[in-house]
Amino acid sequence: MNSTFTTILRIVLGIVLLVFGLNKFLNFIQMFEMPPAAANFMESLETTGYAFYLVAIIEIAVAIMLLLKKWVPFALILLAPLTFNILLFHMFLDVSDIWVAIVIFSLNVLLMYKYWKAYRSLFQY
Amino acid sequence: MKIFHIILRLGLGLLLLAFGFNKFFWLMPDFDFTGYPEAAHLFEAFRFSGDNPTAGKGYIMNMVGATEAIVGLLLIIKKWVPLALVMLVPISINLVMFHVMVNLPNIGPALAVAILNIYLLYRNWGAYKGMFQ
Repeated sequence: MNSTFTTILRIVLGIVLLVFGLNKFLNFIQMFEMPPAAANFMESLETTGYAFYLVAIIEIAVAIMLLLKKWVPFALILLAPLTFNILLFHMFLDVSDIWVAIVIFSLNVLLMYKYWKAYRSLFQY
Repeated sequence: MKIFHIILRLGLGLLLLAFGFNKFFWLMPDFDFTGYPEAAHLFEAFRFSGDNPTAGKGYIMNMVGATEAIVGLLLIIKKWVPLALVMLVPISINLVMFHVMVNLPNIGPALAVAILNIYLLYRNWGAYKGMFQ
């Protein structure tokens, strides 16, 4: 749980999430062109008026917890649904840009594995 | 009190199982989003990944349907209940937010699911303590 490797994974994931989270408010990354179905899907989420803010706030909150090493198992489980959807979105709607999704997914899964003890009680009954 | 909690767990489980299967087989009548264009747009984008059925199949409805069915089943057979409740949280949040933001009149069932979810999380809080160390 405290190996250098785990620490590096945790900090890398924290920084990636902080950048993507802040980008949803500040828009400093150039967005790549998306296929029509993906663009339509994104647009439909924007019309809800909350989805991207919610995602951004969760990403930033998770990033801060990971970087400060506070409630790490909770941060990882909070991130899991986002990770899952980032991956599925790219698999089904925009497969050419899937690599960032794969990186985030791998980091999330690997870190949850490292902190598995904290989740054992979820499977008790 | 014990029977009350069994009823809550089974009730939520059956509700989720029904809504989960509905996202695959569309047994219930379609929702009427007349007058709520954002809701209709979102729903179509989720179901077909586009504005109409020709756009291809979306993944969200199947994923949410599968998650709901699994959570429902776990609650009914009383297996891995704390995990099932955590898996349900993102769905509860988005059910409520969806109805608050784009389709307020039909918020009833969403609120019921969210309140049951929160209450059962609270009842099982011991299982989550390990995550906050």
